[in-house]
Amino acid sequence: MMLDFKKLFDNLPQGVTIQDSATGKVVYANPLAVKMIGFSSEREFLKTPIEEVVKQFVVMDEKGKLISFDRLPGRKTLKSKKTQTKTVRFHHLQSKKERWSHIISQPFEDKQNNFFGVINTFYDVTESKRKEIANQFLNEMSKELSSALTYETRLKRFSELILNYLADGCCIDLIDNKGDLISVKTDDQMTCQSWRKELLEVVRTEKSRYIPHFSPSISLLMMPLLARGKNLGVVTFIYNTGSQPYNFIDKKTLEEFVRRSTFFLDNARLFDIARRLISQQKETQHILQEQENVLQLSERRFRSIFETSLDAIIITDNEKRIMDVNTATVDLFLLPKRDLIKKKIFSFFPAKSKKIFAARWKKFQKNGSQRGEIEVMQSNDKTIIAEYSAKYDPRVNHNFFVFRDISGRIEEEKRREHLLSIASHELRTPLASIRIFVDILKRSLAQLQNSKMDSYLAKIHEKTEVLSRLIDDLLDLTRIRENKLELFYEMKNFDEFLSEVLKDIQLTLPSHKIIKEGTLNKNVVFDKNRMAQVIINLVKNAVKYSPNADKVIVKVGEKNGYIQLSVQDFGIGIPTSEHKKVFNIFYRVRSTSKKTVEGLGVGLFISSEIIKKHGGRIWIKSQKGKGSTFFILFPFQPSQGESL
Amino acid sequence: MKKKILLVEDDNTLAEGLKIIFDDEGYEVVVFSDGKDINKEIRNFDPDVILLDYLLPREDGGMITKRLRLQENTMTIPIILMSASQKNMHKFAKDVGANAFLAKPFEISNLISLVEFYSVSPSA
Repeated sequence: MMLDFKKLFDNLPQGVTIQDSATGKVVYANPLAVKMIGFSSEREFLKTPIEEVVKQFVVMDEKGKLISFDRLPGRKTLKSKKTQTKTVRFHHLQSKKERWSHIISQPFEDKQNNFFGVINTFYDVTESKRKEIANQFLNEMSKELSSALTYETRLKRFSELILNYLADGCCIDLIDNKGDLISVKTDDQMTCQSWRKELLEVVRTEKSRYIPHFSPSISLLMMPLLARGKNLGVVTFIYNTGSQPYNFIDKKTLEEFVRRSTFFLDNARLFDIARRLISQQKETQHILQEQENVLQLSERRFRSIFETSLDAIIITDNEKRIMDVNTATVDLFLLPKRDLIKKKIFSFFPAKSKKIFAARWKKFQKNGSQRGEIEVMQSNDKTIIAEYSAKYDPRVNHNFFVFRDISGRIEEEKRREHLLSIASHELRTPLASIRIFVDILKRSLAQLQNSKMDSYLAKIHEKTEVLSRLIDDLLDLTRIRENKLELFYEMKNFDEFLSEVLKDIQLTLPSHKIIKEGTLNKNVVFDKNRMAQVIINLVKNAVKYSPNADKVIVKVGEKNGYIQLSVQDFGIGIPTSEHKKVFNIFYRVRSTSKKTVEGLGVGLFISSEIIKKHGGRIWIKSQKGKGSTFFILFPFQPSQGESL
Repeated sequence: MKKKILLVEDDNTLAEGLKIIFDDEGYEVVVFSDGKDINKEIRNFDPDVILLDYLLPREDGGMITKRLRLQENTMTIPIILMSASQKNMHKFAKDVGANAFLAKPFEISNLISLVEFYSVSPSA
């Protein structure tokens, strides 16, 4: 039986070529081998020299290393006459198609055992190799992407992988929170923008789209980035003319690559969000801790102030029950803290103070704050006078009381008052003697008729007057400040009183005519010495501040059941802005003549206090340059402590 | 006959001055520095007016006035109280029974008028 070997080879499922041992030339190629190499017929293939055929390919081994023509298994077997095997990767330069073949090259001999040639068997392993490569690629890619931790770096790796292995360029467009498509990784922003319409289409349909020859130079493959049912955006693969998708890996693998990448990206995105949330939470915790520290510090600080305060601080609830006290409170009441806590605050007041406190508490609750003085009883039954300040804090619903023992201060004030009255007495007594002797000298000199001496004595007399008035003012001031200005009321005909006072003043002030206008022929209850003091003060001021005038008008009358008295001058006047200030203590009208004005500048202040004490008020009307009028208004009978 | 003044004043200078003034005005003046021995002198001297300082060692002017007002022979003698204390003593002077009060330092003319007024009063 004669086997038809050629027919057998022609129908083999492997590619078979036979090389002649003498020339190395291919003498036979079965149709599959011809097809695998890229020729349409055996004849054509056999006509082409093998060197020419090989030139059309880049030939590599499994690891991607180039294999030279001589290193191909058929060539090696020709030399060694031994069987050679190798897996070879053919990269067809023109079509860029790749094919993997497992080649077994075997020597064969003729009947005489002479080396005759080489049989090359090509097993097409492209599919399995592709799969292997795809898996390898997917694994490598997974490793690459997972090694990058943040969303940003993963996105970068993703685009790097595409550029290195899959395409000539790429764009990644992501959908942001508002649903807008934002380009994040692009080779050329402008280029990417030019297919925006197509991008939106892919976003809408969530389907891949291949656009060959989008422009003369490029083709595009757009794939949606889908993960967890969410569309993150679109990746666009850009291919320059001549290259195309699925070259290196197939469509399925590419889709798997994109699917996995999207999954990695989404993971990183979620991880980033989670990490941000955690760091925010940590920060919040940190802030809370910080705030708590500040609060604790503040609490500790206030506790220190509270405890080191020299004033007694008491905190009560709205039932007046003591909630907390400081050390100074313990010292003030001479009671341990435990005996004070939960007790009502007024239980430490003497009976008299309890009543006062009850009345003041109502007012305090209305106003929210209060200041005053109150008598407080110590545990040894000794009463002390305390000054207090109270405040209600609605935020904590507590009342804060600060008590200060002012018994010592009051004692001190009394001593000072006593000292002052002694001092004034001691100042006046020698003045009285000086006056007397001035008078005696005057009488003695009267007989000599020495006018010079008279004028000298008049000067001494005048200055003792000034001294005496200064002492009076000083003492009046002290009295007013300590609220001890006492009035001595008498009933008197006011008109008679006024005429008498004005007559006396006129004697001492010859430069101006003091004109009395109006009458008030009625009995009035007032302190005549104090009222005279006021009138004298007003008239003297009127004269002092109108050096170029020659008269002062004192007008008296009744107004709405009150006595109104005015003193008018025609002097320099007082600007409106100063009208209220003139009654302030130590106020001085700025004199136009630079002459210093005698006295303490307290005359109007004392006058105003005296009038207030009479239940009246004092005010001024004045125009600069035209003169001033001082008005006083007071009742016929001083009402009990009520001021106008 | 000269009008007589009994002056009780512990400030020697002032007392001397007042004596010169009232001697000059034609009065007869006897001076004491406190109220201790004045009872006997009042009986002998029989003053028309008593000029009394308020602040005196031991017994003050108020107490002396009160005492004199309780004694029959001195009950009606006009008393003028003088004081350098700043307190308004008018009311006080009236309350203890003095006829007038004069604050120191005073205008001499005022004192002379007061003394003149009381020394011619019908009580003499």
